[in-house]
Amino acid sequence: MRLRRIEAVRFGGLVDRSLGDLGEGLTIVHGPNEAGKSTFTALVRYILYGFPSGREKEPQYYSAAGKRQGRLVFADDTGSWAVDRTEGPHGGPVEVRTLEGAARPGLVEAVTAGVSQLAYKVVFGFGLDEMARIEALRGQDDDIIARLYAASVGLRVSPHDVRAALDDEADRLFTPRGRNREINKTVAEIREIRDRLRALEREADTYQEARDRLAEIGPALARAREDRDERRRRFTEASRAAERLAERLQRIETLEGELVELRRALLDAEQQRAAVAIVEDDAPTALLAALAEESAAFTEGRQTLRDAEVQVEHAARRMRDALARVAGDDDAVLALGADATVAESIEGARDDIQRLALEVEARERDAQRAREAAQRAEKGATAALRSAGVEPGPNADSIVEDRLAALDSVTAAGLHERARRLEPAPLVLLISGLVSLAAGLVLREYVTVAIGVLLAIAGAVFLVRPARGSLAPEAVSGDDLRALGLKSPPTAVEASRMRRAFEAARSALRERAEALRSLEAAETDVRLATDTLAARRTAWAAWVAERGLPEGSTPASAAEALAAARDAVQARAMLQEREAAATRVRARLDDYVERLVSAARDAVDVPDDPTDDDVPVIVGRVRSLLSERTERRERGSRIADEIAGLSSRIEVTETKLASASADATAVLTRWDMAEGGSLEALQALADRERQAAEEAERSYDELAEERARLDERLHEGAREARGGELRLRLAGAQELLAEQAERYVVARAAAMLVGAAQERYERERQPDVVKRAREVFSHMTGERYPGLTVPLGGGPIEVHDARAGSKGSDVLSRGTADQLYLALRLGLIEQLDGVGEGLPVLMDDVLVNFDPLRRRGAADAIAGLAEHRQIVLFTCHPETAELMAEVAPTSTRIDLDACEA
Amino acid sequence: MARAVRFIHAADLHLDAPFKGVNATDERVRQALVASTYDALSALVDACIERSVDFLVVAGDAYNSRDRSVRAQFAFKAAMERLADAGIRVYAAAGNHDPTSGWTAGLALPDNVRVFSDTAVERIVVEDGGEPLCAVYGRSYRRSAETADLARDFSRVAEDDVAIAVLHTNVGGRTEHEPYAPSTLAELQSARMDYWALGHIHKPEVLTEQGTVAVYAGCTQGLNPNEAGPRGCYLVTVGGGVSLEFVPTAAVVWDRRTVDATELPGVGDVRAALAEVCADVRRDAGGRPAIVRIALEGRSDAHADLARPGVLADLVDDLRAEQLDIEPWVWVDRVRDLTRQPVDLAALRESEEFAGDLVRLSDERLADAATIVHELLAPVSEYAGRDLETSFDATSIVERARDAALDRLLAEEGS
Repeated sequence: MRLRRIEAVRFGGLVDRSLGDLGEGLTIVHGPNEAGKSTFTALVRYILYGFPSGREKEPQYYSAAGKRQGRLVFADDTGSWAVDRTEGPHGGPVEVRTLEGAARPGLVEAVTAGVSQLAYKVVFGFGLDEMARIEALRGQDDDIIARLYAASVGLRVSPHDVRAALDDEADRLFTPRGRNREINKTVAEIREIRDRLRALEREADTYQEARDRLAEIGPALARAREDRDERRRRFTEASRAAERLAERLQRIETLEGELVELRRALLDAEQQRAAVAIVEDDAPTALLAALAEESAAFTEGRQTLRDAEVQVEHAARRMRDALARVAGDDDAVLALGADATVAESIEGARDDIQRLALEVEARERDAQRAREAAQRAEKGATAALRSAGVEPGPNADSIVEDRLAALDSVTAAGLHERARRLEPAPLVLLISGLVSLAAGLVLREYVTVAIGVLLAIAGAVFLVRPARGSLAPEAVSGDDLRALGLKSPPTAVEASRMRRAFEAARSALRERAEALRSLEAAETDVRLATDTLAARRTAWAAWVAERGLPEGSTPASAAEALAAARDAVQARAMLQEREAAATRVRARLDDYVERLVSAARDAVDVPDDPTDDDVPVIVGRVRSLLSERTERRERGSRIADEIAGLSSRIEVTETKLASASADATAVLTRWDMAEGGSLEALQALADRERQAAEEAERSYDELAEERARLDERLHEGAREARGGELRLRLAGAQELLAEQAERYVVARAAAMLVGAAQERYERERQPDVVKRAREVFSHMTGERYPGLTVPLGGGPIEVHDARAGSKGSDVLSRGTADQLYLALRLGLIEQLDGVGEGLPVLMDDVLVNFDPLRRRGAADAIAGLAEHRQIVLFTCHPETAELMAEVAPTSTRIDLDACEA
Repeated sequence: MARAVRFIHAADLHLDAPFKGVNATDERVRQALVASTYDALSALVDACIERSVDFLVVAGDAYNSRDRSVRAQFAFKAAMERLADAGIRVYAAAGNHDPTSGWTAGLALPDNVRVFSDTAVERIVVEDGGEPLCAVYGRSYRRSAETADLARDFSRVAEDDVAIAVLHTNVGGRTEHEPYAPSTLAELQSARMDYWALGHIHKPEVLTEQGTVAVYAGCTQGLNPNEAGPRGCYLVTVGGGVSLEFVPTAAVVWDRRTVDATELPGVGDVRAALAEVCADVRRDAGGRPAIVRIALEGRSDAHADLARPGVLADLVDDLRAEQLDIEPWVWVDRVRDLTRQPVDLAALRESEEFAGDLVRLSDERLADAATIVHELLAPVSEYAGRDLETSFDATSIVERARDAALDRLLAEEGS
């Protein structure tokens, strides 16, 4: 990469001026003064690094044509590019335009890599003014040599920069006299926190004082409270005692007045009670009251007596009527009525006679029915015999029996033979009937049932029906036939009919005999009953006679007489009872009258011989007397109650008076005023106690108020969280300080290590840049100064002559110094193969102070460097241009015209 | 023995104690932390009441008297009153943070609270229904720096059916803790107690030797990132042996995690891995908010991106916002980027280049790492004074410095 052309669009006095084409190696630009050599040199720097602002101490090169603007055209084998920069903020915008080949947007950065603007200004684009700065900047932030050296040894940043950055980092953290450094600020904050904490501790001291004072106040307050309470108590007691005494004295006065009134009332009551007293020795009020009360019973007794007398009369009349209904002596009648067995006897006789008479009648009816039955049996037997062919008579029984025997014999022989033959038709008829019957029952066909029954009966009848015709004659005995009055054996039907006749005759004969036996028994019964009835009537007649009843009395008439007798007896008993009751009533009445008269005679007016009719009058008088006595008694009772009440009240009032007096005395005694004490003295004492209590109250309140204040203060402290927050802040600040201190130490240690490493590197490996600078300088000076020392850590550059004498740069002549600085630059640039690739070295008449010999040496060195780095040498001296062309035959020469730079 | 004794053993409540090692920039997290020791106290009281224990023992450091926090004292008093209302007694021993000289001065505790004597071992017989239930022995600190061996004065009385000892002590001379009231396990064993309720060590731990059960209940609330893991109290049952049940009370759980970023090629992958770690932390926290400190380690391709200014900070901010939106929240306290470039250090050591010099040089300086770190930190230490509490791993610092330098020296163009 090489710079081909420099174009000044508007820059200083240059407007639309260009410089080029520049050569690959050395380009010699010759021009008179003010041809724009320095302007082009500055323009290159400004295009690469930006236009300076007005505040920067750099030549501004303002243009009257407008904003400053310039252009650099770079080229290599692959293309060419134009770097345009126009004045503007931050150095002005830069634009890289591709003129040929591929785009290179990072072209400016690539060209200036590792070379700061200052380094460029001092090392790459310099004039006489910058010659000495290469040393002046050593040891400072912009140690150009160090930077370029670092770049030359492969480091992206210079150890010097690193150390400076580390030291800067440490300085940002702390400087002993700093204020805004991090550690300084943190320490300041810690001190401020500590000040506030101390203030809080001073407050805490006041809390402690408060606590101490509280500890003192506690017992004092307790004592004050006790004193206050005691004073209050004494005042309260004295005050209450005075009030109590006043109240008691008032009460005593009141009670004494009440006592006078009560006693006067009591005297009046006692006089009234004497006036209403009752004397009742001769006529006790209770007895009279009882008798008066009993007068109602007396009136009722009189009515009872009258009723009893009417009942006596009624009973006597009834007895007489009863006796009159019975003939005979009254006593006998009364005795009959009184005999309880008579009625039974009468009823027994009546019942017996009636029953026996009925028995006779019944037996007679039975006998009559027996006779009629015997007559019918006789007629029946006669008819039966005749029907059997037997003549009635005494032997009719045996004849019938004999004939029956003969008939049995005859029928037995004939029937035996017939029995062995059965008729088939009746049998079929019987079976059919039974089948029909069964079917009808099963089928519930009642017509079929009826038919079945008829068929079965018919079959059975025909089966058992005797065979028609005669019995077998060879089986019948002749005797028997004779006995029967027959000549030939009878047919079965005839035999049957004969048998029924004989048997009927035999039955009729038996019934006749039985009827005759019944008739005989019935007649016997009639006779027995008749005899018994007659005997009973005889006994009744004897009893009537014995009882004195009229002869011929029947049980019924005897019963009537007995009822009358009994009525008489009952009426007599009632009469006797009524008479007794009347007598008792009379006695009670008399007794009452006697008691009444006896009791009332001394009290009221009583007749000498009082009757029952006088009794109500006497009772009325007694009642009047009793009423009067009652009224007086009630009045006397009221007076007595009044007296009792008055007495009681007097007693109570006297007690109260005594109590009040004792109480008043006790009050005075309690306050030591038993002798000569008074209400006024006690009140004066209470007033003194009040004043003492108020004083104690004030003392207590003051202490309590102080304690409350202290408590509140301590509670404020208890709520106080500032201490905790401050301590936390302090902890945070201390932690931050420790962290900052650690960072500080690390930064410082790192800087120290870098510095130490630099020193070692410097010591153990002499940098090539210095070696090359020494060679260049030695050559320039014609071996006058073969030695050169450039401490990389700072310190003056020294040159050494052939005799090993050393000179500091500050004592060198201007020309020698310029040669030294140029040698250093050339040495440096030779070592910067990889640094600032494409960055041209622009020298602005830097050889003016060189003598010819040393100028040639310098020209050789420059020509040597131009073999591998582009150099543009500006000069206004033709000899210099010619010298350079001589030592660098391949160089390019450009001549500038004079212009307004 | 009539019946088993059930009580809760707590210690090191450190009410209102300052937190360390956390930079909680979120208001909600700050509030939760400020309230956490009080919330843990409430949880402790709830545990006592819900389990109807016979009593509560507090083995010292109920709160930091050095801070003289009135709030802490009032909170403790209110908690004791809640227990009094529930009929639960409290036996407390004072520790180095709350010696009796500063114990609730001016604030009277309710009658259910007994603070052990600071002059001798005190034996208190706990009764149940008028009958002795057990004996509780204890001794308080008179002053903060109690260096006497208090445990040796404990000795069980023969008639005790159950004997419980309460002491704030450093058993076995643990150097990472203040050597207050130093004792040995053998001394505890010789006292013949059924149970030693210990305080001072903030991590729960059960020490057992020859039948003696000595237990550090740990603190009820972790106070800094080093107190990660469960924090709470023990429900103790003594009766035919000793049984323990840990009851968590911490309102906020601390956690520390490490993420190996070796296989994580980009920032997005790191972000996902961190979210996954937060989910794990949330699960392990058992429903409580958690604060986690995460270290990213390993040589990772993500290192370069993470090392860019603001990248890790933005990632952490985004992660915090996400994790705070989930309940219970997880506060990502810090993500330390300890990742390194995926460079071959061995190859660099063999290199003649400048980076090789740097690696070899840092290797040589590791031997003096502590001195280097001390010297480099000296100006800051002098400037910050006691507020700078560091416990840097000097070797790690030098290695990280080496890596930081390499990061920059070997940075890709444009990075």
